[in-house]
Amino acid sequence: MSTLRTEEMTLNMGPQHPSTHGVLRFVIKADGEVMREAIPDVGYLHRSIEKIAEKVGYHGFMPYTDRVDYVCAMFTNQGWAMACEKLAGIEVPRRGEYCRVIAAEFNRLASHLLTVGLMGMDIGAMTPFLHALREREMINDLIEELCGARLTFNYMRIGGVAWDLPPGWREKALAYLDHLDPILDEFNALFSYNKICIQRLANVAVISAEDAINYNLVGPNLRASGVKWDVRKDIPYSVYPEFDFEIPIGRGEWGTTGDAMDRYMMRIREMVQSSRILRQALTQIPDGPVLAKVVRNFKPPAGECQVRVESARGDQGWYVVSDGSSYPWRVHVRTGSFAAMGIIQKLSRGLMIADLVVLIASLDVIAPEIDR
Amino acid sequence: MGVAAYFRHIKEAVVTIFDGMAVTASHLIRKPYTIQYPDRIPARVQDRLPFRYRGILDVDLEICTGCLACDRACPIDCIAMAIEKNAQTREIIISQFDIDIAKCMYCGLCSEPCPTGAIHHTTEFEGADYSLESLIRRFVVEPVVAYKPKKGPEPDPAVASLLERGMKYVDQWAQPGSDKPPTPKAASSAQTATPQPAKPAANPARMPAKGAAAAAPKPSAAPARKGADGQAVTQSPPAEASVDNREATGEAANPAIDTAGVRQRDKTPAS
Repeated sequence: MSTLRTEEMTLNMGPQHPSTHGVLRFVIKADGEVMREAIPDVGYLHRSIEKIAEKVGYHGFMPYTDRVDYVCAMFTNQGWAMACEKLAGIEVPRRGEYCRVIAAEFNRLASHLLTVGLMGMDIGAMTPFLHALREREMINDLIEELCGARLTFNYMRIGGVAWDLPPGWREKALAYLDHLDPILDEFNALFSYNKICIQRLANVAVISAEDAINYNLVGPNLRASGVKWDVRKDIPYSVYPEFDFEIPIGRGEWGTTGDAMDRYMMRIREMVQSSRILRQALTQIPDGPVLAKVVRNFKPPAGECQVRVESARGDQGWYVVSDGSSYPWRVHVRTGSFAAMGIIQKLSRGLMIADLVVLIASLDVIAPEIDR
Repeated sequence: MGVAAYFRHIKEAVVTIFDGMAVTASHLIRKPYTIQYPDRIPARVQDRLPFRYRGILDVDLEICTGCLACDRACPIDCIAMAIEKNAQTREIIISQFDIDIAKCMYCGLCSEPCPTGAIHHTTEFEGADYSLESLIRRFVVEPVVAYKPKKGPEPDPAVASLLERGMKYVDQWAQPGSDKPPTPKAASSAQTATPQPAKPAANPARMPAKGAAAAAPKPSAAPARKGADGQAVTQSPPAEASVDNREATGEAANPAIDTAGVRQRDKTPAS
């Protein structure tokens, strides 16, 4: 009997696949169930946000930064505000910086909760997703009270923040953190330490530390590979040096260092650290103004600057060129999700098609952040 | 994988699944978090939202000073305003105030510079409608004279209650450089220092905007109180807004209009 003829199969995954995080397409060349390679096709969510900045001016661009990464918009707000402040040499009041850190860390909690929930959803567990979303909902309620919106916050302004903490909000936030810490343990018992979850994630899509650096991974993806690099510690900004917190790194307790399980657990561990930062920030917050005096017709002197913030998806760079007019000459955002897309083609070789979903979920890519 | 490891995995899977199921079972005695929207809730969601909630925009025309600060601040030009200034009585007549709710992105940048809180976000969020046209909220039915902040308390109780709500809204915003919001009383004393209105020399950059405003859908009836030499100051409607026009209104802003508010904001020089 002659051997059966086999051929390479080309599959399209997306752009509307519910397991891909947003409108994202992969062209998969598969040999049976095993992928030869998966080529990411990005650009479906390109809204030319960087170009819009050249038309709406410095103050007007702030709501657009929410749309760069709508899952953790506080960091894009902060990046833009910090870039403008650096250009014009504006000093943010200390209470303003504390408000920023509090809002941003709550947003990091919300973003990581969504990520760990989606990880469960992507590998077929619906319950953890609902548990994570319930907690995220409570954070959204807090942020809604703070700035009036649940997703597109537009909370920060050049020179500070738009709203001070409302009366009684600090106590509510601290009470929420007391509620969250046991919930994280509960979530671990529910899902993270589940044998099926571990078997599904451990030793899948391993990224070595060398590869992570070469492919320019940032944030939790980089730290999961064992590289200790966090902008909050290594290039301190805002008031982060005043807080006592640790940078967790992946150690490969369940498999190899840098596998999907490490990247998943990185988010859980970062949530614990965020909770620590929040407790300190909420108790130490000084009195005073939250917004520096900035003219409405903001015209920074001609020049260029680059700032980096540690977003929930890693090192986020804002590059702004000013020509001295009311409108920026050029704005560029460097986002963590875009960097993470680069390594997918390499990692997908020899991976099962079902594991591609795990890979995307563990890299925590958010489609609008890739394309902007 | 040996037989021992195989059975160990099965045992661990069973144990951890029971750990997870214990968490799930504990929810039998916990209070459910989901609410059944829109019925089966004790109160309307709109009534339980925080005061800062950025819902659909609303304008209290009775306390609008016609300062155009919201129009200038809007990054997507969803606010179309037309005002005319009577040079003799120094009154500002608002002849058009349209907000395109379909375009609005609820950023709150318009209500931030409002001196009286006239333009503000409500907690209303259900804005579904049958046509795009009906999403353009037209607040001016016929031209009205803009509100002028009074010295001392507001005599008209209807306007006073609106102003009270407006100032409560304004006080939510962070004040640059101070941790205490200004009281309406202190702000009204600042009003006495309003500089003289700009001289009637027309700004050439604004000339095209005038023509554009004439084409805009606005009430054709001329304002009743407009003087013979009343100078019209118009802001172009969204479609015609050009960068040049924005520059002109943003930088060479009419000082009389600019300071007509009860609160002096953004008057500080660049640091």
